[in-house]
Amino acid sequence: MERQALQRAKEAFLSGRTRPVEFRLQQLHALQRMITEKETEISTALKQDINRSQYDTPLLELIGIENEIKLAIEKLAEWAAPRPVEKNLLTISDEVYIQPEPLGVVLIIGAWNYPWAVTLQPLVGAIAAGNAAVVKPSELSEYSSLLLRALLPRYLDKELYPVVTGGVSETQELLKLRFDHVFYTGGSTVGKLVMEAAARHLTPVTLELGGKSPCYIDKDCDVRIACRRITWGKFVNCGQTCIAPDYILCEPCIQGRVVECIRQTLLEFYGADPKCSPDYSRIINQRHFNRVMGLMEGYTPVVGGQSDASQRYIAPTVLKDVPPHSRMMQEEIFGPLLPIVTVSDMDDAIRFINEREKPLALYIFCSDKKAVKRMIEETSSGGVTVNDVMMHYTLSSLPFGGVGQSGMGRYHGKHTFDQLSHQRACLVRSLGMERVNLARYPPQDRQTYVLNAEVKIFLPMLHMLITLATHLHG
Amino acid sequence: MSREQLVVQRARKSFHTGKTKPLEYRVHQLKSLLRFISDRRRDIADAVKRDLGKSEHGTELFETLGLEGEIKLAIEKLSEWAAPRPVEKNLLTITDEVYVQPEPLGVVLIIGAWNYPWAVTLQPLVGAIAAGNAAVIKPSEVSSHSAKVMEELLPQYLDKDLYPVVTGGVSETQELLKQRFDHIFYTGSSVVGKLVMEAAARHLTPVTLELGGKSPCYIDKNCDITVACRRITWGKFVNCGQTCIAPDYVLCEPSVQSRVVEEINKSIKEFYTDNPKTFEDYGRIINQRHFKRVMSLMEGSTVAVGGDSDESQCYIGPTVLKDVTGESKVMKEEIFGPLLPIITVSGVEEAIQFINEREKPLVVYVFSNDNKLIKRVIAETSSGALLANDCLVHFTVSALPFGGVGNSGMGCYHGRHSFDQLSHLRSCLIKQLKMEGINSMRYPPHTAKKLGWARFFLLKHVNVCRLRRMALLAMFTGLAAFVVQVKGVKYSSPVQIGIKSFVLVSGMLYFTGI
Repeated sequence: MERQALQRAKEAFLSGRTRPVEFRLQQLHALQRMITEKETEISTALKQDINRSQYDTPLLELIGIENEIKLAIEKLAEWAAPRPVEKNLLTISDEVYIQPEPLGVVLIIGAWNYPWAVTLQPLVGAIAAGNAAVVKPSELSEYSSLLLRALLPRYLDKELYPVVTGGVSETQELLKLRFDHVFYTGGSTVGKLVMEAAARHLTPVTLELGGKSPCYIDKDCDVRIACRRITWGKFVNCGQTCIAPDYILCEPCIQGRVVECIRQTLLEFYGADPKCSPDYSRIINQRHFNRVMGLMEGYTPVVGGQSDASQRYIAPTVLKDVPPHSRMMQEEIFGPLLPIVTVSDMDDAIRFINEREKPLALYIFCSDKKAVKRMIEETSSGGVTVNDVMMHYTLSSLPFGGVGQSGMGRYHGKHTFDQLSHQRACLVRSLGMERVNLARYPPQDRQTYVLNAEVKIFLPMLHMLITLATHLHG
Repeated sequence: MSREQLVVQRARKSFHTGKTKPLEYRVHQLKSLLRFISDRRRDIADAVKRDLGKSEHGTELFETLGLEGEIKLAIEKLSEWAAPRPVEKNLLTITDEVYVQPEPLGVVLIIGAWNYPWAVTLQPLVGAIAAGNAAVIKPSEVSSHSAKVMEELLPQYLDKDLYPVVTGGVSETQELLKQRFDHIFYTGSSVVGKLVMEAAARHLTPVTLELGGKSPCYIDKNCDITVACRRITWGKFVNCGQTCIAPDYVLCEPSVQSRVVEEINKSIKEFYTDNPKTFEDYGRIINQRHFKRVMSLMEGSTVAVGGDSDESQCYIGPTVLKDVTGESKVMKEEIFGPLLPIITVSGVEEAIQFINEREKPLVVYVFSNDNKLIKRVIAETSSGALLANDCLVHFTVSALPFGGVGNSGMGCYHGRHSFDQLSHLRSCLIKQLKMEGINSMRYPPHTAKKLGWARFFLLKHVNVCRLRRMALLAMFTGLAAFVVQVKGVKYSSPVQIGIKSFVLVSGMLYFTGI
């Protein structure tokens, strides 16, 4: 089944129908219509998958996808056009440019936490770049996956953009096949397997992985506002966000204040009993519920800690004075537990962060510009947001991706288009001016005689004129 | 601990001291590399002569000249490349600092090839140094003299711990590939490329693979065949055909085949004399194994020019094969030698089909005066690069990304592309702890009204430039109104205040540089 889907997609791609920009625009418009017309169905599926609130669905997923589609439609002609580059002396009368081209058939493997966003945003780029795409949504977000399989063929070209559902074995089958790019969102462990499989076909990959995104709160900043923003970012989608602030680093003197502010904010956001709040999600399945609960073992939270296995409900939970070697600090939490680890100062925080794998995001809450710049300079991460969380994700001009264990490659906006294109270098010369080539042909000693005059006078003058011209031109 | 493990560990330790962060340090290393090339010109040329039989002129033209150009460019442009790169903002981030900050990755592994042992090993190094990384350099053992010279001399110019040279064969390379790097830059064959990527996958290490393939060369029957053949001859037989972007085979219509053969023969004589074997500017095959490999590729094809060889010298004369078909032995693998097969096709349509039936090559060459035809070949084929009416020279335009696609590779380099390839481009958004009110639309408890606001802010595409221009226009309008007033038209006092505030606000909006 997987092989057939790829075969059909490949044939459809080779027919050349994705080449014209008009076709790609038409597909993007159709995708836009799908999101608008089926918002209710999508919301329902997400409620069943993860108890997502009806407002969080557009807020966290659909608006983002809409944004990407609108941008692609608006900019496609510009992105797909030849991109002239700076010439050198030798190529001054030639056409020199980079031509973006489709790669072929892209495999998009989605994740379950934002099943629509992380599956359809790469698809927008794939379509815009003129590729075909086999879409493999995560089986863990079962309702969304089945809905996508039902809806996509009704709006998009059935052969070019097939949806393949299934679990581990179907994914493994897909990964045995040859694609022109594999775009994977998920965990680092599977990320390695995806890259290994891709290596067998020399297929380039984009891996959007995860990690433990640290969140440093400077003692001199406005702790109340910092905690409001952190609380929002942490507990949205019940902590199941790749760029959620995973843990807090702060000095012991403000730890109590941080806990209090988070407690207040939680009350404001979810009420006294978050279980009853329509805005508070659930853990995706029993396995992850058990995993997250296991991380808390042996620690007494200062906020929350309640749970209900029948609903896969875990209350928004804060733990303080968490030791660095605890289980909670060994893996990405991906759940509503917020550990606070104390550090003696910013330098200590930097050291702590650098002892660990490079995360997908780094959050710094600090009003001192110099200190912020220093922290950015002395650490590394996929992205950084200062004085807020997650917002770098929403700006499509910023490339979104990881580094090291948190991933490779990037996307959003034009970056998706570029990631899923081949940037082909083109140099179009003429068959005239053969005399200029004499310098390069053997026998090598002839050119000293031939080019002496040119080399000494004409070429330097020409070089000067060209430099002048390009400077004036800007 | 193995030697390789120690070397990588030392490089990483040295990287973590932070000494590659300051641009001055990187420029200093780059300048030393430049000095190395000019001081040691003789040693380098000697090594290449012994490895590949290349003349001193040849080495300069094809190895060191390009390298010097890359180093000089990096030195000149480094502060520009390494600076924060501001990006377009949206309405929500209008008062924030938003930029992409290039950063070093850490320790890069550079695995070189033997055909241009200095260029393909040191050009990536230029990018690695410029981007602030440490780099373990593994030159190809096949070009053994160059590897030895690099191992002995490079540490005398560059930091020994940050940029160590590790020599050795297959097992040393395998040992290196077990270690964890932050990027691997490999130049070589597709077969080994797969193994490199598989090894990199275990550590989630990104890779740049500069591989190869059969680069087709289509000659349109209506073009200037003499000039076309001169350029093709040059591109093909430089370095005795051992160039990743050499025109591998020619496609042309049967009516021009003999003319093509004749013109290539003429050019061969012009470039390499009647006896290329004794001519200094004609190289040799790198070793016995490749000599035998290339010789066997000739089996079953008709030799139209050349075909002579001398095993004791690893010499194969410039050779043209005619009436070759897609099934001939010479068409089964990348030739990487001085055999130029000619395959006849009925026209550009069949040529395109022929090309598309095969793996995407590193470059497609097309010789034609017809711009439409050239554009058609570009649109209907795919390859790392496309060069019309010449060979090889796209390699020298540093603004063009140099790399493959599909089986011919992934990633690209040269000039700024090397710097970007070996950096992490980190997205940075610097907000302030103010204007918290605006965030309420994202916080629970959610309402339809709040969502409406969120939609407005997130979906409204603000053309910031246009906003600025509007602010400017508004400011001038206000000023004009003010000037008119001064000239005698009297406004009432509230209107005066109104105008002044208007001018002030739009001025502020403009000058605060939204």
